[in-house]
Amino acid sequence: MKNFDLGRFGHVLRLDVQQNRRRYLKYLAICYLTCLIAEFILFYKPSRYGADLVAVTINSAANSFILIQFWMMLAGASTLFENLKTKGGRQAELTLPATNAEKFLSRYLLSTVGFFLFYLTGFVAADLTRMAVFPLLGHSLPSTVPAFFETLFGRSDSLITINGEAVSRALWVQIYLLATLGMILTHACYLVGSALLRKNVFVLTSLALFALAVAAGWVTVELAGARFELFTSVDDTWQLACLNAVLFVLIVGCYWLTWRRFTRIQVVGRKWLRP
Amino acid sequence: MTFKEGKPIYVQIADRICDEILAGAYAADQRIPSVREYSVLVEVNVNTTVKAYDHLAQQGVVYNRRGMGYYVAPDAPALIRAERRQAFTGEVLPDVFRQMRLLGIGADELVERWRQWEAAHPAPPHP
Amino acid sequence: MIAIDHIHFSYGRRRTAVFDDFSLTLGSDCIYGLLGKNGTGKSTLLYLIAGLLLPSRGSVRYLGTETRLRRPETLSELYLLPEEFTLPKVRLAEYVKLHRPFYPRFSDELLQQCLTDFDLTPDLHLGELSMGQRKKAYISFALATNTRLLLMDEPTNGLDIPSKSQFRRVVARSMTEGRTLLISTHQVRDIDALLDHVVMLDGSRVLLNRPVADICAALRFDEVAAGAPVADALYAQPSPGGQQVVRRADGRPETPLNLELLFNAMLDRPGLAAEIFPEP
Repeated sequence: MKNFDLGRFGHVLRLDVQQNRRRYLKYLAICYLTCLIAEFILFYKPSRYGADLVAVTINSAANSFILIQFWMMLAGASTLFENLKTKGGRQAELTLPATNAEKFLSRYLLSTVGFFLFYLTGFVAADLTRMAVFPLLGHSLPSTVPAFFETLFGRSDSLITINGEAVSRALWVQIYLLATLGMILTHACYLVGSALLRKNVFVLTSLALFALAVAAGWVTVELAGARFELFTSVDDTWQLACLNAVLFVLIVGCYWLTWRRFTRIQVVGRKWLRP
Repeated sequence: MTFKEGKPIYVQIADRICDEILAGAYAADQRIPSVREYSVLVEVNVNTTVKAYDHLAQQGVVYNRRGMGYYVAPDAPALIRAERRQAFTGEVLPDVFRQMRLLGIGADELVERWRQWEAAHPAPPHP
Repeated sequence: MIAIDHIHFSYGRRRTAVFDDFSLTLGSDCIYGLLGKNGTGKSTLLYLIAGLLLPSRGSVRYLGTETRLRRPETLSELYLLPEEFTLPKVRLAEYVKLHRPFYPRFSDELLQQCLTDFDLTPDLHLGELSMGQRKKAYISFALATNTRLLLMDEPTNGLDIPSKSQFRRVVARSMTEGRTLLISTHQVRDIDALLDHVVMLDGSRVLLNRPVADICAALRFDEVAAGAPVADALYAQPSPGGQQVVRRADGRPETPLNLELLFNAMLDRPGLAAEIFPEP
């Protein structure tokens, strides 16, 4: 009795993609339109730019697109349990002869990697559209795509000189981990939101996180007062490592919660949180 | 097939097959449809049809060849007619006689009405 | 084949339990009729058998394994046809292609035969069908999966009269050896000639759980003239021809099973089954 069969997993994935085709095309369209609007907003001013300013414009535009991408990944995480919101959807999912692991991995991949690909496709398409259309309006700028990838995968460069001075390697590792774990944790929160909430997952999770952040900030200020120096001096590697450990545990907790919810789901949803 | 109240369904199915045999749908030693095919036709559970076929086999109207199905016995039409004649004289006629007594219809009137009916409905020529 | 053992299930803490200390055993190679009034939990029972609902106490086992575990080996041997379902708007061929890998004994031949019986063309598009046609296509698919257990919740609901006839034919054709069909319905007249075994529920109680052959051997269902009270009637109800009565067979010739009449009799006298059929 195998817990994970690659062949069967392939069938589950194929079924997921085909059955939810329309939904995925919708997400792709949203990505494309969002990027298109962003492209137009960022580049609509005709080329008063000198050649040296073009590079800066492209880079800052790339940063904006990376930001939008992160936002899209969060939206993707909120769709993890999307097709389980209806009774029919649950019926189909629960009677499908595959293990929970296969079913979960399939929907996880589509909500994360899938969304990443949707966004990339939408972004590249929007960029190409902009490059094709703008010359007709009289000005043109080079593609944002190369800068996008550079910034995304060569990000380490921008952190090393965070204080304008070189920092030790260990500290740099911790800071890098902090940023990465922070993003993964935020993403994981949206996965949990999708598992626990019945409607308006993205909006409600965002509100919840916002409220949590405000509360955390308030607690920080009240409790520590002037003695809380974590972020005023980033030279304490050990403190950061602790924080990273905490974040890691929280991430594992989020994933565990989501998995548990998935394996315990019943066709009549008795345990949804009704906002 | 809509089933009448009264006789068990398997008996009604057996009667149906007998009707088909008398009408010439199946010749002597010809194979009748399989149990499953007939179940589909009359829309019943397979076990009910099995009972019907067994019933007919017991009467000698059909015989079973293992692995091949059920076949019409050579003397099936005669057997069926004998069986029905028995049912008629043993059950239907006594009912009629009881009614006659209740309503005060005598034997003479019965014979007279029979002659009138025969004249009005000539029998079709025998094949 | 299916062993339901002292289960307790309720939809909410504040609501009365649907099943309380409920047990039932069902065998294989049989067409079961599951009857009960609306709201007695017939659908709930089907969901519990399929593992879509989890009992809070007790166990539901199919082929020896608890269905709450939702193992693929168990799930690929059962198929549930719910009363309400949504099918994606794709061509049937595509739907089959996507789902058949999960059911190793899927039979194209049986699918084609069922579709023909239902008067449907093989190359149909699920999004373009009427509700009744969609249901018939889905029934064909369910039968073609060749699972050992098939659970149907109100399969004839929404089918017009010719379609109900087609349904009977399709079931007669497809229920081969080794398969069990459990039909939950309140439209007993649609399926009573198909059943091997009758299970009647009333809330948490099993009113009756007997093969049709046993019932017909023990009871007879007649229509008699109105007015005259029948001496040995266990239950009587008025009818267009007079009154319908349930009596002990007592060696008299068999009558066809009148499920509707039997059901009403059982509801009227819940202890009737115990009287007629002392425990083996």
